[in-house]
Amino acid sequence: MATRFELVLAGDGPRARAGGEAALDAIRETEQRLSAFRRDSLTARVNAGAGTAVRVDDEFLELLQLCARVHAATRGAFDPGVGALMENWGFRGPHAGGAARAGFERVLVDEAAHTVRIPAGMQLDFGAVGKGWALDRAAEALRAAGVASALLHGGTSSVLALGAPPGAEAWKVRIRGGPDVALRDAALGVSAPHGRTAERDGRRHGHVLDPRRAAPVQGMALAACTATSAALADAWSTALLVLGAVPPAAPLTWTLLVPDPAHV
Amino acid sequence: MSEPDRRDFLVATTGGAFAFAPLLQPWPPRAADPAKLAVVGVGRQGRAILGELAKFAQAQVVAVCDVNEGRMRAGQRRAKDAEGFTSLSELLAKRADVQAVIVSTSTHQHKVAALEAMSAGKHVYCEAPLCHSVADCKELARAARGAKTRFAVGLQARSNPVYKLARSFARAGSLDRVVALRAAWNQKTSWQVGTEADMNWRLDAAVSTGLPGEVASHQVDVVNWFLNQTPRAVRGSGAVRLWEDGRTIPDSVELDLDYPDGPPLRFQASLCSSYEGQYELFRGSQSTIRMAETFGWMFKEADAPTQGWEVYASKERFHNDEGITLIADATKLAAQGKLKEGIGLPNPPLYYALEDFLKCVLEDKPPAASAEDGLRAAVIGIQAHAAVTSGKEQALSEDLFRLE
Repeated sequence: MATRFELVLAGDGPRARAGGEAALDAIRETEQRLSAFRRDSLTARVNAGAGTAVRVDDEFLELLQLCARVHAATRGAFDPGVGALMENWGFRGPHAGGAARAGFERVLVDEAAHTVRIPAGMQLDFGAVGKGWALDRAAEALRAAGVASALLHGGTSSVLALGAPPGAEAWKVRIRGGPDVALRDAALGVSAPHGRTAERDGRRHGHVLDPRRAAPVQGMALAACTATSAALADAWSTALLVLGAVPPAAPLTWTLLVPDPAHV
Repeated sequence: MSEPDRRDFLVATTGGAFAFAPLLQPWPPRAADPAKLAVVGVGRQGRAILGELAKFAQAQVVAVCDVNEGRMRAGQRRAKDAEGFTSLSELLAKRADVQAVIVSTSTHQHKVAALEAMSAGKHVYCEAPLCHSVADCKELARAARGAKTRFAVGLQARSNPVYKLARSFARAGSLDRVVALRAAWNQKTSWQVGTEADMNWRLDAAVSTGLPGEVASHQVDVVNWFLNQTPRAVRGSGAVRLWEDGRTIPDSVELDLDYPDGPPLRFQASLCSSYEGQYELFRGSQSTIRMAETFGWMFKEADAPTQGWEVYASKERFHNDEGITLIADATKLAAQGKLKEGIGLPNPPLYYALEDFLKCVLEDKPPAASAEDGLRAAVIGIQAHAAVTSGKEQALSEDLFRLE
């Protein structure tokens, strides 16, 4: 993921250390399983097998199911089938050009056979949900190790709070240029198009693509939301940036949308 | 020269260097009923095993077992259709359809689980090190020798395509004279696990074989396998250099293993620093081979004969040295113009070890690492740990490996 993960744990020495190591192991393992950039990842395996049914394990199927739910609820604004598009736009090295489209609804999951089939030409990229998914796995490891109070983040854009800090009601997280968010057994996702950019047609483009238009997101400077899991918060914050509005049925406890002043 | 010509040239001139059996052939060649498997012990290693097994259409995990119910449930997330058990006896009694059992419990519990599975007529894949004592290793290896079923040991390098390729170079004389052997394993981690004492067996002096047993035994096996030799004596030292939490098992060790022919193997491992990670290094007078899990490199001396293929091979710089990347199945990849894509393996080493085991179960192939290979590696690790804790040289006489 090329992302820095940090954990703040409240607890006694060896137990907190053991929990922290198990959590980091879980994050590392998730990266190994999901990264589209690693040849030995499950994602790479599914991508290499585009057009055929590829065997995956149940945890991977769970992730696909979560993605399918968010994809449907956002009418395609969240779409992990965006990998080939990202390549075309040059967010994965020199831009490849050519036609590619996302469309996670075209991904076929066979739960009984434990297989997934993506259409030829599509590439999965869990960049918009992987950090959150990894944090959820890390939180499971912490809970199993008896750690009840912790704050975890991946790349400062995905944050997960376990319990509250000793003597306080909730973990407080400040969004740069925005409000403080109180988190207790909840997760925060923040998405913004700044950061990684690519140049095309003489213009610089932010790294979040609108999968429906196959073009970079415009008009929004930042979107943030809180949810019950880090994977949901991560996926939904990306979708909100694309949508520029909150759909009525979004399973979110709090949202923030900041338009891009250049586009107002 | 045009691209296709180059490729033709490459394929035509690689006979000497690359004409080893293709190592990454798709398997199985024909459709077969999947092997029905049970995984016993689904901690971190067991979960990794379940993740890799899920990639095989020829493997169906029908049961998982762990004495810890929480861990057992976590294991089921990687194999939802599998029935969960907290007792192996119950599993074996209830699931007669299980053909093979994968043992990934703590090391000192391997023997009981593996013997029970064998008595029930199951094929067994047992994680390495085989056991935590010489007596247990021998008892298990003896039982495996007498069993009608297959018994494989998780010495993964023996199934690893890059290691197999590198070994073929070493065996064919690419190193020329072996002048030094090094191996290391470094990872900054406390080895503390969870909240329950039974999970911290690696820090329990009564059953742990420490870094020499849990780590060095795998890497010494690589050296033994590359050289076709077994060390005759081991000296060691170690200490708790960082994790002063009351443990007595050293967090850092150094070992010297003497081989009958050639230089000793110097091994170093630490839980205090991650620098350099894991590697095995064979320093030869014409080339040096460095292996690191899914990667391998050859560093050639200026006066070593050119073998043709290396002109086109991928190279990587390490400060002043240039390593030629060793690529499994290079001839085929070169023919497809995909040599660069072959750098590193498409799967973790564990995948190839399990693939070999599935061939044992479904095609009655011999294991990549037998119980006797497992015995040898584990006993060396056990004796090395004894050398560290006693400060005294330990002999590695053939008696230690012999099954009466």
